[in-house]
Amino acid sequence: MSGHPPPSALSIAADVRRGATTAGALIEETLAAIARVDPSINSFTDVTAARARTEARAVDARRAAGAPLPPLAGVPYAVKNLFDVAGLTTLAGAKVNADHPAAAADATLVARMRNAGAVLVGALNMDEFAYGFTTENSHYGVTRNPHDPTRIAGGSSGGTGAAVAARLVPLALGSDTNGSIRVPSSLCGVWGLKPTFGRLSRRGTFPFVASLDHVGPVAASLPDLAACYDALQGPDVDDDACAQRPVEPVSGAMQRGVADLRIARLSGYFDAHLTPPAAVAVDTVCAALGVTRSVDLGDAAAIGRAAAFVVTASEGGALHLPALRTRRADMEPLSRERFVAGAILPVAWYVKAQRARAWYRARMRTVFADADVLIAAATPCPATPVGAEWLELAGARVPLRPSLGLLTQPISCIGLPVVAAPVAQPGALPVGVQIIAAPWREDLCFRVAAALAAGGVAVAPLPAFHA
Amino acid sequence: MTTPTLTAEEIAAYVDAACAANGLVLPPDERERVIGHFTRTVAIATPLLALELPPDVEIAPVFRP
Repeated sequence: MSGHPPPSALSIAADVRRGATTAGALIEETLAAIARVDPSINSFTDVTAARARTEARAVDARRAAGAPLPPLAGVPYAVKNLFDVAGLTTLAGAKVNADHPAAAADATLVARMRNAGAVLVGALNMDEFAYGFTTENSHYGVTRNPHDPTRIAGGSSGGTGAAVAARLVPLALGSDTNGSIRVPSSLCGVWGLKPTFGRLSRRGTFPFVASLDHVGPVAASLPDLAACYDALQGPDVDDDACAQRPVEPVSGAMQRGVADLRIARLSGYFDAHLTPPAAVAVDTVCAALGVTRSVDLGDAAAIGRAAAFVVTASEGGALHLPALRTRRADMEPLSRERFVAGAILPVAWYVKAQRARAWYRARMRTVFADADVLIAAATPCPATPVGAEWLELAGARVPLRPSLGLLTQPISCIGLPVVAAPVAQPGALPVGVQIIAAPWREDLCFRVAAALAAGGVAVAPLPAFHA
Repeated sequence: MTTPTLTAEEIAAYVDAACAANGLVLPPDERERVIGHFTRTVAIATPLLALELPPDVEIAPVFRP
């Protein structure tokens, strides 16, 4: 398509700042690329061309006036379509939302991206109401993997992963309740951040599971991921779930190395749910980092996954009960009966799951007394064919769609920060590896990620059409 | 809490009663799929429900008035 790698967000911002290009010109190139490439992957559900041109003009006017430019000036980005975008209906992947009024204001994180100078070019496809790991959306179409369009992009932030992997945008925002940033990052071969629960504001995002919902960025390069995360941080009095913590930037921490970090591989449950390509990815990362220690969480990992599963089903089912009563025919066939099953789970199971999260969190605190960073695969396998129902895993035939979250659910269950790092063997599809730290220590995730990026172990591969 | 050992008939009866209690009227094909999902949830939840917790392990409060 282009013959050379598309520019990173930070290089775009630098070029705009020094006048080597304009935000207006960049946005026209981006809109043209979306028109040319997206029909083959279906990552966008809306292209906000008029808004993008307005925001780009504002950036260029600011430079022309001699005003200092913010860190992401002129950088095109897009958001999963559960983020409120003023003037756009917030679909959350659902047909039943399509007749809702347009959002009156931007989500907090969209506003922060605008303040950082970034230019919104559109909204991205997802599983309906974020309840899925494949973005096989019956209403808005399947989002396809840019590395192999016969395969899924992962989900539920599938449009986010695919748009970044295809280099239509260098940055995009997604959400992650049980793995919905990390799974598409893994299958599409891009960098993803699921921050600590409560780190980033969720105000103005369509909810799924209040107890577990996170939001975060996806990027084609690690410095871009860090810069975007730094621009998004900060407390938000309009979001009860957002921690009142100051901005703790990570961009400056990435060159500190990892020599002083105690890094361990999660074994047991996490090694038991790997296909060979995912095992190779974890082996490669651990070898590069010199990891010799492993940590087996015992039954806590399966209990954590079960707790996340029950909390998700219960809260998600209860949230959508009105639509399940009256508009079930308009809801996603792949998830509507799961929502029903969740809505009727016994309350005692839900309460037990929430209490188990507290127990599991206490167990993990003891693990982090002896380790700074934990390593595990992000998905059990690389991208699977669109429509696949089953996965061969550890000698058993398991249902594919829920199994894609087997390795991410036990981590988000207790809100730990994770950077998903893309690992690609030559000629093979990428698989992501989770770099996990104690709560509020995203900086450690980024330091380990930087070591992997510097060594060429974790790199977001370019799709073949860029060759 | 002990681990539930539910028969297929007990699960179907529970699904029917709980759907009725929540105002959900399901055609037979959807009912069968809900029963299938509920059955899978029981299997996944089993280690969770078998976990014995002391009474002072509480749900973490997040509501900030």
